[in-house]
Amino acid sequence: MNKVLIAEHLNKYFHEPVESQVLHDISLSLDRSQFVTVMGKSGSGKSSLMYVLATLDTDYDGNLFICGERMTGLTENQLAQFRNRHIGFIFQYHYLLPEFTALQNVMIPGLKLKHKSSAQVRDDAMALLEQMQMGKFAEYLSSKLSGGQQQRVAIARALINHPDIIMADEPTGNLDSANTAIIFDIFRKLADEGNTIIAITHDMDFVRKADAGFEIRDGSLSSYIEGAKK
Amino acid sequence: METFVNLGIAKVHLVSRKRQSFIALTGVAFGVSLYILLISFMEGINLYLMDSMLSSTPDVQLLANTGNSKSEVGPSGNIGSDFIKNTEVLLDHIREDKNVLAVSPVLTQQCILFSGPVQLNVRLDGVKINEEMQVLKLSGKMISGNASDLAYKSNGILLGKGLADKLNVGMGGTVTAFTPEGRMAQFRVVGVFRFGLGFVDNTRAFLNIGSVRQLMPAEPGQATSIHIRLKDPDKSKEMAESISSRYGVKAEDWATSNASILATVTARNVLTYVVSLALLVVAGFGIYNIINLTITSKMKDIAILKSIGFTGRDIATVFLSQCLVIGLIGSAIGALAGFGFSEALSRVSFPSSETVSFSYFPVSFKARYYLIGVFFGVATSLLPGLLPSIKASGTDPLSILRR
Ligand SMILES: Nc1ncnc2c1ncn2[C@@H]1O[C@H](COP(=O)(O)OP(=O)(O)OP(=O)(O)O)[C@@H](O)[C@H]1O
Ligand SMILES: [Mg+2]
Repeated sequence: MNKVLIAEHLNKYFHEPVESQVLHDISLSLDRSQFVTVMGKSGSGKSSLMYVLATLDTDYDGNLFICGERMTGLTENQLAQFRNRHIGFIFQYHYLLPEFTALQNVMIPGLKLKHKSSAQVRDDAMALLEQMQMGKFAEYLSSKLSGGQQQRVAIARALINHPDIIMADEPTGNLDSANTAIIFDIFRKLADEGNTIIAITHDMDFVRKADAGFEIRDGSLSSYIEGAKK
Repeated sequence: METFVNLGIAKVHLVSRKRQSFIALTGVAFGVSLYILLISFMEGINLYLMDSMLSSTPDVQLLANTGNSKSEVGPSGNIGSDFIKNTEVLLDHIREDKNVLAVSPVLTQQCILFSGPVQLNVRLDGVKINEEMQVLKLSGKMISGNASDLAYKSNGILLGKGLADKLNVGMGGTVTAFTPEGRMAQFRVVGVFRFGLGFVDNTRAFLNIGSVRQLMPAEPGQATSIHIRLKDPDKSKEMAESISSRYGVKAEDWATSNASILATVTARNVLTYVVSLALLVVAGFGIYNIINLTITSKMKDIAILKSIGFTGRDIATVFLSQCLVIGLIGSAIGALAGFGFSEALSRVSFPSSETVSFSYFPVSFKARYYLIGVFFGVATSLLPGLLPSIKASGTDPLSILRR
């Protein structure tokens, strides 16, 4: 049970507008506490791979295991519950709920999971926001926060249920270099604390901070880059 | 927001779109309150008319069966001017029927009543007042005098309110009756009644049966009609049929006697439901629009919620509970407003009219109308939300995250 994620021979096709294969026989596995990045040109299939690994996309061939459990073939509801418990998400465009405060956004997955009392979830959420240097913005509506601030709130939200794996799709794609640096540091720190992270990025600096990096080219996981850390 | 996270999210959605929530709420409240007002008023009228009808009409009325329809309604519009054969025997038989509460023989004479310069066509009902009072609810309908006083005032007369007003006579006043045959008698007013139905109060008078017998004249024991009150008024129709076939007399139940009024009751009921339904349908469309709009503008939220672990059922709950809250609060406001409107209407004096005589708008207050109103209010909020919510619950988060 050392492997947090195992993907076997993933193939994915799009039928619209023309028949095309976006993922070609992709296999990979992630160890616990490993921090890996996936690089690739625009349109190479990074997001497509991420959505499959994240269990959001079920229209693929192959097998996917997370935490030893087989994801392939589970129902929508089973997958939703699994994501809530085991997977933390960070999207490129922050994707917070705009009408809710930063604190509420962080709390929602915790309240949904119901493993802790709501007071406990609130305390944990507050602690995570502090950790992201966002403590004093806890009561701000998320739509009133800057891009970098929103992304830090989104990271806090991804961590609230202590997920087994954190998945990020270009978490800095929308940010300036200063904010990008902040987010990189946060990821590095999370990795050092023992989190398992898979992050998509264009940024070579980010790749160098990781333990390992994959490159995807025309839908094939074609090369493996040793991280600067190793 | 805390324990029930779906409801918490629904609450934030509602509160952060105050204007739309307010419009939806107003729509439901408006529909429910108008429904309650309308039905309370219509039912008020119906109940009033029913009560007037039931107290001024016997459950079953026996008339002479002449086989000649012309003589039933004579040249002067005289109803039942023929005598019922073997009245005494018939009375005894009917009185023994276990379904019968009271029987009363009536001698009816159409005549003209004079008082000073005024003369009016009036139907004089000669009755044994103590028996008639067990059939018609006269005592509760007296404006002045006691109906039972007729028993010991042999030349007494009870006048309908409209009649007394037109003749301009009050208690103790005298009126003169002329029959079409040219006979004449004087009577002293001992009471004025009001059933609330114009065609009764404007044209009816009650006298002792003996007075009418002299005026006609008729033999003792003869009657032109027999009034019957049953223990169970719902059996009126079957009783009328069985008496009619058993004794060979014409028998009419109260519903047949009042067919034209009952038709207006039905018409009012239909109108009430059509108008109320239309109101609620309009409110429902408003809610459909608003919830649809909310869901469309929340597609991104739905995708986020699903990606962080909310199931389709959770999503449907989030939106349906918004509908439910709008329905419940809107209905509650509507019920209160409906009560307020009804209360206010019941204090407005009713314009005087020939056909009915209300002093105020008749309004009926019944918990049932409020329950039905709230039920429809909640239903018209939930039903329009159902389809969009189900659609939202099936949203594929990928289609939004991919853009
Ligand atoms: N819904 C879709 N239907 C059809 N083809 C799609 C769909 N989504 C993506 N594709 C195609 O699949 C390929 C991979 O897309 P994907 O979004 O995975 O690329 P990416 O590597 O994430 O690119 P970027 O760096 O620009 O985000 C592209 O050629 C794209 O046109
Ligand atoms: Mg992408």
